[in-house]
Amino acid sequence: MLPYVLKRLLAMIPTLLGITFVTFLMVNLAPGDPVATQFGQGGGEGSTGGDGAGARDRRGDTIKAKKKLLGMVREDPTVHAWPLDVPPGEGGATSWTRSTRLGELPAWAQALAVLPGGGVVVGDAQGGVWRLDAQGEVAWGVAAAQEPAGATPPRGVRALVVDGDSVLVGDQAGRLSRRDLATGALLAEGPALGRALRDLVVVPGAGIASAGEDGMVRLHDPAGLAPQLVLEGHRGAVHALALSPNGLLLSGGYDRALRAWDPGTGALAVELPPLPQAINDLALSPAGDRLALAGDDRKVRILSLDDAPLATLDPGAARVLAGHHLAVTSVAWSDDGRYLVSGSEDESARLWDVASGSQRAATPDIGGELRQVAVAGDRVYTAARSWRTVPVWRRYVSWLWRTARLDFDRSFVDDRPVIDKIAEALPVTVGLNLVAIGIIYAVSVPVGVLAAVRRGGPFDQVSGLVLFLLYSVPNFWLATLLIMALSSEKTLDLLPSVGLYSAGHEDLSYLSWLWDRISHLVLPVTVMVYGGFASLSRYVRSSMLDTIQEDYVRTARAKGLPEYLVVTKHAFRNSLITVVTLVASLLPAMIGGSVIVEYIFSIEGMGRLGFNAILARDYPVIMAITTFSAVLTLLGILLSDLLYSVVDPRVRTE
Amino acid sequence: MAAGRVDESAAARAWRRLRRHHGGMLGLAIVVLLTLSGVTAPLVANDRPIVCQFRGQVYFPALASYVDAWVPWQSLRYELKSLEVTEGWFPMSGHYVALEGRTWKEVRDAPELGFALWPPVPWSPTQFDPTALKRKPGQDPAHPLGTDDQGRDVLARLLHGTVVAMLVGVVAMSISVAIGVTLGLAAGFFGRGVDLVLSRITEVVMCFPTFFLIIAVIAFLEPSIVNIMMVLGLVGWTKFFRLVRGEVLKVKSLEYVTAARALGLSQRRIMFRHVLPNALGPVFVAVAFGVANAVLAETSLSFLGFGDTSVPSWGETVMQGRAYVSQGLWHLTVFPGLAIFVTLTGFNLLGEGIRDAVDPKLRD
Repeated sequence: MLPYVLKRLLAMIPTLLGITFVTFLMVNLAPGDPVATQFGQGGGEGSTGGDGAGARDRRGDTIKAKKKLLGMVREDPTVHAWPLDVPPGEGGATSWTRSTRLGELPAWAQALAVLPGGGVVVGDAQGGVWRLDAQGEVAWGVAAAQEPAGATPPRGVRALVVDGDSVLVGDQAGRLSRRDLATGALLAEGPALGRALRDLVVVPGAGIASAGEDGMVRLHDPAGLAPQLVLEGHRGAVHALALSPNGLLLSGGYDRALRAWDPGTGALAVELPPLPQAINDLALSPAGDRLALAGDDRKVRILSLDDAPLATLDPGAARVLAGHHLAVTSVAWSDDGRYLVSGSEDESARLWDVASGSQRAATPDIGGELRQVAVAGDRVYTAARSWRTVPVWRRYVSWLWRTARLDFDRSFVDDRPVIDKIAEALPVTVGLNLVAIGIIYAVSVPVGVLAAVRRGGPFDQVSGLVLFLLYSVPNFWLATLLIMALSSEKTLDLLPSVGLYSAGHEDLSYLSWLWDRISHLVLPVTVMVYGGFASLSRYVRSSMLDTIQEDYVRTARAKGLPEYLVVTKHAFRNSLITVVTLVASLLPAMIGGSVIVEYIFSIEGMGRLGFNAILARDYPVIMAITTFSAVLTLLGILLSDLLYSVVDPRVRTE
Repeated sequence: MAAGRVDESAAARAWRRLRRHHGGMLGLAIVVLLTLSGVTAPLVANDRPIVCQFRGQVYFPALASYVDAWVPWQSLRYELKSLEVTEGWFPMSGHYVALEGRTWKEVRDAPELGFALWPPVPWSPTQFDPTALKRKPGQDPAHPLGTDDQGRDVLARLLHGTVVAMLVGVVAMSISVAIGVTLGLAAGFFGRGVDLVLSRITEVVMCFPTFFLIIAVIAFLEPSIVNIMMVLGLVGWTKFFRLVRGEVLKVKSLEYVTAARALGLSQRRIMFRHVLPNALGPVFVAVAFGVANAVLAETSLSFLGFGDTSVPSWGETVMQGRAYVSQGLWHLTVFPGLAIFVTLTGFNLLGEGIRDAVDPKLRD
């Protein structure tokens, strides 16, 4: 017996792998996106048509949402480095197809500062600061301090600037700190100002200037890093700072106007007419003669600083580099001032030839908005909230591993663990089916036996006809007819047709409670059983007919046993064995087939759970139910084979 | 005893035995009648005349409805109807031009219309009658079996629904049979590795909860009738695989195959000429039951709201009946349900008949 069981179990392994694979494929190939469906924006791919860029973006967003939810992509917390080797001549383009990934940080990189000797300092979204050398090795790193959840706002680093042999760090809590460039040791830390510091500039002789999201530009004491001078005037967050060659501090931000300040006195020197939209970044060319502005209006502007006094500059007359299709977040100049790199929310970075204004290279879709770009020598660094594709085989392995642990993730709809939802629904369906199977057996076995014993008689013919006709009745039709006849105000309002119990059934007395449960069961169970009557009683009948022809039955008759003993003890018991083994394979099939009954009678079982999950594109639930039912079916087949081999040992030797 | 003649072919014997099988013949009669009613539906229930004379030109406008009924691809339907086929005889688009944007119904009393032979049920299955919503049978002499919530004639939908049910059943079964028989023949004939791999694949497909899988796929795809046929066909082949594989294994070891091999016949000839025809008996039985199952699956899908709403499916009307139970629109449930029931009974009876006719255990 044991070798047979082992053999059968081993034979199950490829089938199990196949089941998980098909389930995996089904969801990974499914079009449409769960988020859009959930919010009622329609289902399949057809509904998200349209050729406009807006429609494309929306569709890209929703596909990305699905990918993220399904684990098709994972966070990519690295700094990408791209080669800056533009071939000479007009139109020469460098190819940015592959980047070098530097570091593997605990969170997305948000701020970059390039080091004169090669390498880069990175600030991550959790507040960690890392120094990476040119090969991407971590020279030193300070991870974010573990703070109690929800205690303070996250301390993501938003601004970094190198000052001699130290680096200045501005974070989302508005704290300015100084770290040693060689060791990473904390040298000084200023007070938390509450709102993020978005940019930092070292102003020789005046201290360190910071751009605050609270609309203030501050000058900090270089030693203690406490704010000394506050430059007020911006009406909205300040996003970027730059120091002009003639010593003025330039600032731009949400209020769209570029301002110049005297860092010594803190007086507003110049306010330029506003741009169409917010300024996200400023970058002064290495020669100091041009200023690049990154705009929320998807454009990069270049202002010449040398041919006119600052006050007469017209940002509207600037040279415009257009190409990004979402807001530009960051700009940086190449060391020779010939090229400009821009990063954008459209998830790409682009390289521009400043002289001609033409685009020379663009990164492939990084998978997330760019936060900062930086150039050092022949390398372009980008920090982005990027995502990288998880290889299919790895996704499949992790799906297998999670399935093996019965970890089916959380439902997209209510964020509850899928396994909990199944644990609620499965007993309902199994209970209902056990009742149904019990009734099917209780009715079909006597009918089948009687029909076989009186073969060709009136009972055999009438029961055969009735059962055959019942077999052809569609269950959804019968259910609707029953509801119409027995559960409608128009006709008889005898039986409830919704759910398995009335509201407030807990407060009923025992007898009324019992009646409540039973009356709710009558209609669904009726619909579930009648089809089974036909198939099972025919099976019993033919199995009885086979046994009745056996020699041992003839022997029993020959030795003079009464006919009822021949039938019950010799024929029936032998034919029953094979009939009983059918139970094991009947149960899982019914679980899969309960969709319609549970849908019609609003029973919260597996079928309805699956039906609703399909409507809501709730992929984790769909995957779990499919896998669950398939494995149950497989186990049912195995169980019935094993039962059969117990009954009939000849099977094992085949 | 009308003894089985020695020279009688298997098919002839099966047919002779089927003819004496009352249930089987009743099933066959039902299937034939249903087919006839489906084929003639565009001539029986239509909003266009069968034949008419319009401005001196003779048209057969109802013929255009055959394209609607028999071409499952919506785009191809449109293409075919906008063709300029020979003037007068087969006007797919010609009559639109002639009618100057009016429907045939609107020109019924127009002076340009000469003689016209109108169908007995003057409604098409997808035509809305806004003046007669939710009519019960007998309420409105124009709609003998009533109308649904959008004013579509139930009788017209019943008649045209036959084609939908039959097409889905037959096409889905053809796909299933093609896949199942091919794979089963390969598995049974070549054995070893081929058999092992194909049997495992079949086991995987069999383990899935079929109906749930169908709903899932149809929900993800566009719910067109073509997709429904394809999915039903792609899910239902395992039965045929197992039948054919088993039969081929049995037939392969018979003496006449050994004899064919000894004669030096090619593998291909043995496989297709000697093994396959003798392994197909159980397939015919399964096809009849399979069509019934496919019809049930399609109507169930429509009932759950996953059907193709551009074709008149019986299940869709039953669904409307369920939605309006409280308004007492019983005819929406009863009539199409009866149609499904009769169809299923017909195919099941036919299946029984064929089973008894091809069963070698039953003697004449």
